[in-house]
Amino acid sequence: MSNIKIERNRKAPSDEQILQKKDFDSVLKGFQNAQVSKKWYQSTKLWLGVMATACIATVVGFMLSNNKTESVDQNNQIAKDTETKENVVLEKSNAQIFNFKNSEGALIQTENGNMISIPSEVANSKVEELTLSVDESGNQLIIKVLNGGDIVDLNKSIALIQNNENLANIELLENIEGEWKPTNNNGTNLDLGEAFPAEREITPISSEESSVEFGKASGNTFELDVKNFPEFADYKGVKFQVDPSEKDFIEDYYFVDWQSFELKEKNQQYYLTLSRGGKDLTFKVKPVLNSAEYSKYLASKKSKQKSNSKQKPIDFKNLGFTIKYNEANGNYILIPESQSLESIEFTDSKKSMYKIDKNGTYKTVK
Amino acid sequence: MRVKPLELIATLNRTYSKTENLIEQEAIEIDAAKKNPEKFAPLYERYFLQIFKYIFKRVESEDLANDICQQTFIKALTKIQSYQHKGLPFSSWLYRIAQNEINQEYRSRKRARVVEVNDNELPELFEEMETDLTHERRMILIETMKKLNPDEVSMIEMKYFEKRSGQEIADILDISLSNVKVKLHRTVKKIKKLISES
Repeated sequence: MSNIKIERNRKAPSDEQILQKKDFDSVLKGFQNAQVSKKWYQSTKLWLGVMATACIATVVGFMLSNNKTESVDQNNQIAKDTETKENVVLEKSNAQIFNFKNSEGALIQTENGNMISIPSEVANSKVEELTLSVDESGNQLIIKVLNGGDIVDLNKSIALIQNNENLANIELLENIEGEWKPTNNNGTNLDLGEAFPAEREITPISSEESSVEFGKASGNTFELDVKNFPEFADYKGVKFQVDPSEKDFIEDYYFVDWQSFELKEKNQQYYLTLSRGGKDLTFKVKPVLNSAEYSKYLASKKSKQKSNSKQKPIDFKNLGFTIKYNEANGNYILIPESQSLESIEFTDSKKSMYKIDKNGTYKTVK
Repeated sequence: MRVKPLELIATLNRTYSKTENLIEQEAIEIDAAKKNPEKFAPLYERYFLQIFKYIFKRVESEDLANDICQQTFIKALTKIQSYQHKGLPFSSWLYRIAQNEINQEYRSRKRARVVEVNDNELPELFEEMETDLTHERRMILIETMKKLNPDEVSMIEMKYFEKRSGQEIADILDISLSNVKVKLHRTVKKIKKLISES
C-alpha cells in the first residue's frame, strides 16, 4: 500500500493569495547562489581533472605498491653495499686529495709544506688516473694512493720531504703496506732511486677537495657505490639527493627497487641514471653528508680556504737538492745535486738560496 | 454561440495553451532567458500560479508548497540552458521539474504522498466507472486511493481532479498519449474492482 495521505475538501488559497507569494528576485538570487556553488562541484573541467588525477594516482600507486614490496630487500642490499664501501674509504675527512697521472707521477706540496714525490708508473697498473690522499692532521701523516676508492699497491718508492721547523727529514715509502722509512738526517747513504727524477719542475698540486660541493642530507637519499669517484674517498657516508630542479622526479623513486644505479660526473655535476624494466631515468643529483660529516666538511673547507688565502713559502731545509726558481713560469726546479748530501742548496719562495751542511746547519747563500 | 474547438480548450484549461502562436512566443522568451536570467520573468509570471497549485495539491501545507515552487523555478532557471524546444508547452517541462522536487521532498523527509480530493471533482470519475456516486462509494473511493501506486494516483488526480487532457498528462509525464490512455483505463478498472470488492 502506498504511503498516501488524503486531503479531502481542503481549502486552497485563493489565486490572489497565491500570487502574493511571487518573488522573482528570490528566484534570481537562488539561481545566482546555485551558479556559485556549481563552480566547484559541477564544473566539467574539475571533474575531468579529478578523474585524470585519480587515474594517474591509481597507476602510480599500483606501480609503487609493487615496488615497495621489494624495497626492504633493496634497502638491506644498499646497507650492505654501504658497509662494504665504508671498508675501503678512509675514515678521516681531513685528508687532502690530489689527482695525478700514473704515467707522469707528481711532486706534491701539502698544506703544511711537506713535499711528496711520486715517480712515474708508481702503480703497477694500467690505470692512468690516480689519487693521492694525504692526511697530516694530528701530528701524523698518512698518505694513500687510490684508484677510485681502492688502495693501489706501489711498485716504486715515494719520497717524502718533511718540512720541519729546523730539519728536513727525507723518508721513503717503499710500499703502501709498510711504514715510512726515515733516512739519516744527514742522508749519507740515502738512495732515492726513482723517488726523485733527475729534474722536475715543481708544480704543487693544490687540493681538489674544494671542487666537491657537499650539501647537508635532509629527507630521502640514494646510497651509491662511489669507489670510482676518488673525490668522495675520504668522506664517510656520502649520499645523493636529486636536485630540486628535476621536476619529473617523484619522491617515491627513492624507494623503488631499481635494477641498476649509474652515477656519472660531467663538468663537476653528477647525474644518476635509474634503470628498471628496460627504462632509464636520469636525474641531476648532488652529494650530501649527514649532519656530523657535513659539519666536518664545512670546518675543513673553511680551514682550507684560510690556508689557501695564506700562501706558504716553500721553506725546505736540509734537502739534498737544489731548488731553483724558474722565473719564466713561476715554478721551482728541483735538481739533485749530489747523492752524497755533503751539503745542499735550495731556494725558497723568496728566491733566497740556502746551503745546509751535513750537520744540519744552514746559511744563506744569496 | 458556438465556440471553436481551439478556443474551447483554452477556455476549459487556460493554463495549458497549445496554440502555435503562444508556443512560438514562449520559444522567444526562453531564448532570451538563456542569454539573460532576468528575462525569465515573463515565464515566471505566467506559470507561477498553476505550478504553485500543482504543488499545493500534492503537499501538506501552503508554506511547503511555496518553498517547493520557489525551488522549482530556481531549478528551471538553472537548467534552462539545456532546455530544447520540441514544440511542447513550456509548462510541461516546469511540471516535470515540480514533480521531481515534490518526489525529492517525499523521499528526504519521508513524508506521506498527499492527494487532495474534493467532492465536486468526483462525479466524472464515477461516470467513467459507470458507477453511481453515493456517499458510501465516495468514502470507499477515498480509501481505495490509498491502495494505488504513485503512478496510478498521479493519473487519476491529473485526469479527474485537475481536469487535464490526455495530451497534457502525456507531456508532463513524458510518455505517449496512447500510453496515458492505457494507464488511465487500467487504473479506473482497478479502482472499480476495488470498490466492488469492498
